[in-house]
Amino acid sequence: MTQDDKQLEAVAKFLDGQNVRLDNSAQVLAADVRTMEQSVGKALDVAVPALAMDRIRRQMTAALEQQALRAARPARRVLRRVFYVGSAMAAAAAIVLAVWAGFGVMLPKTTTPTPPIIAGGNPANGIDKPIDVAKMDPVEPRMDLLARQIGEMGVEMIATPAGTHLDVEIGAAEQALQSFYDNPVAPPPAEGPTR
Amino acid sequence: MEPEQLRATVAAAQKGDAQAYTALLDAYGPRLYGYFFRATGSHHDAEDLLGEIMLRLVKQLASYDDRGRFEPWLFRIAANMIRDRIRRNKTSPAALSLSVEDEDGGSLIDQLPGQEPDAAEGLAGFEASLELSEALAKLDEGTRQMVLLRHFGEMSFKEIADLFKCPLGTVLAKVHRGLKTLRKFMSEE
Repeated sequence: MTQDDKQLEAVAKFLDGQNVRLDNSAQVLAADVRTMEQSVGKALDVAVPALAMDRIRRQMTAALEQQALRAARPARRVLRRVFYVGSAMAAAAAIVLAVWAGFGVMLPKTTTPTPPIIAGGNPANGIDKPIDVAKMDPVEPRMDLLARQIGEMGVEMIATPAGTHLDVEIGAAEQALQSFYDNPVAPPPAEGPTR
Repeated sequence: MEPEQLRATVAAAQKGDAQAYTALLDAYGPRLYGYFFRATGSHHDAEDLLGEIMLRLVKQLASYDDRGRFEPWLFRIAANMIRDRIRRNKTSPAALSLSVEDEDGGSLIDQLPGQEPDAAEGLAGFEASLELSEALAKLDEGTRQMVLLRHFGEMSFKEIADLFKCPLGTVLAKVHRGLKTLRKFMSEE
């Protein structure tokens, strides 16, 4: 920075109100600038037309009113969104309830799926082959087994829709029993020594 | 406007108080108008720019961080608006002729404020203003802006140096040179 630059900077700081010490030439420069600013400044001033100020005042007021309206819109928008979301959720919940209630009426009361009864045993019930009751030694376990099978058959009859092959088998068993009563079979001959 | 009153007015305006904005327009409107007029040489442009800066205040004042220097902030916006307008027009006030007429037969001379030139004093003032406008047009853009911001914006040399990004001494030298040129034209009438 040259000496002139330093002097100019000092004068500028002085005119800005800073506590700067100036030499004689700098003081003259500062005084000259201050005097010219005052005299030229008065000539630079210009009056504002009253009509222009009125027009600008009206424009400003209108802009403030529009800004106030725009500021109110986001709050209303949020409330509108909350209402729409809440309504949608309530409608969805109502639909789900209606569907659930409808299915509850239509569906039969059952706890487990019921596989069909297979002639000779039901693997689902843990019976893999026909049970020869006569060959089972203890009476009470046999009776328990029979009772359990009858109970299971009863459950299956209740759970199974009408017209299944279970009905067919029961019908065949009934026919066999009826024919047994109608045409009793002679007892087999007693076993004796063979010649 | 006193500093405390200004701070309160700005705070009220930031909350959207219309009366506060009116107070700001009344306080700074004449200085802003004078700055815009001297920078462009046109009353039409000066009114246009004054309206525009007030609308910008309505939009931007809420985000203004009031640290006690509202006026430099306001006139920095004004200076940027002048710079943008000059860039847009790609002309400078020095290229404008005050006697050029528009389609209605009026000229920029007719738009100068003041009383009708039917009295000696009025005519002198009218001609002085005309010469001052011509003198301003002869300054380079930077010097003209610095002189006008010193007067209308009441900005310090430091604030002008920061705005124009040039050394403090350079700002003082330009302002001093510009004032001498204007005074010379004024004294030659």
